[in-house]
Amino acid sequence: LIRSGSVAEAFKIIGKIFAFRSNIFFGDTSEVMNSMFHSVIAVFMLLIADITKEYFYEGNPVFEKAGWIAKSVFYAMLITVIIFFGVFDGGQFIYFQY
Amino acid sequence: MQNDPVHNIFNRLKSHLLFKLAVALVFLICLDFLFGSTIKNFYFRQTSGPEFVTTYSIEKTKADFLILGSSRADHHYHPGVIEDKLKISCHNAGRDGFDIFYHYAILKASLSRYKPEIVILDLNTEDFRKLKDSYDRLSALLPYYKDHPEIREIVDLKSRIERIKMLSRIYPFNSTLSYIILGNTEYNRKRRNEINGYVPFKKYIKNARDQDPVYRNRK
Repeated sequence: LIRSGSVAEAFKIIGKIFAFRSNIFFGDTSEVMNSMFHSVIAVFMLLIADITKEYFYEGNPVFEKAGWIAKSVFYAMLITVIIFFGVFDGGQFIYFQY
Repeated sequence: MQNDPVHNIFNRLKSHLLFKLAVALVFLICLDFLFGSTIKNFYFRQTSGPEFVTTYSIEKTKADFLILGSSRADHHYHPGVIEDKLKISCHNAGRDGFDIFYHYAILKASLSRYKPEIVILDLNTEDFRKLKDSYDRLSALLPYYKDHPEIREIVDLKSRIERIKMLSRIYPFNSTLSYIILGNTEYNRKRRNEINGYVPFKKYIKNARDQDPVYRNRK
């Protein structure tokens, strides 16, 4: 909504969000599909983290007992994933197609 | 073994935070190189999609008639029609949502390889506004930064530390996974139905006349 060009356009978008007749929106252009794809991955990862914390988390014995080299590899992998999937600016954008 | 001086030095060092950080950094550089090289390979193997059109426009096209612009260019100028009428080759290098920096980079990259006879630049009023988004969207050109020095000065406008970020091999391909997956599939090639870069919209517009601003203004 912040990106909409006018107040009228913002209301139009809100209206479309609550429209029940149309199909589920996955996007027409590759840019929109890319944004949706990353959203789904991010939401899925958050869900997994939340479910794990809620039902299974009692410390992480495997990680705690791991040596510092294994931990270094893990952190390096984590940074790699962040560099690949992270959003660093507004380069990823939703291109309005309403 | 315990009295081995090298072993003793290693034992002392490994408890040192800086040493651990250095080791983690070495792992990071190795992973960055391996993962980045793999992603780069798949990125440039795409056969469809916007990233493919960008690659083709920057590295391959030798069309006499070049079309630059945003979505209006991408979905309106049919190279087939232009080729039929003018009897010269035509390529549509337009891309949804991109503006003048991107078009300029494409033009510079093309001019470094050959000289098109005609170039059309489709501009929107937005192209004359200074928007932060315009700079951010230059990230689409990052995969070409290393091999195309002619576009570096444009990409460097993105931020002051862009050159430092470009030391990473993964960073240029940030958030391109879905493009790469789709761009390497036959499904996407059929779905987009590109005609020399032109992507037709095949939809029916309800009340098309009322939505046409030219017609609305005339009323």
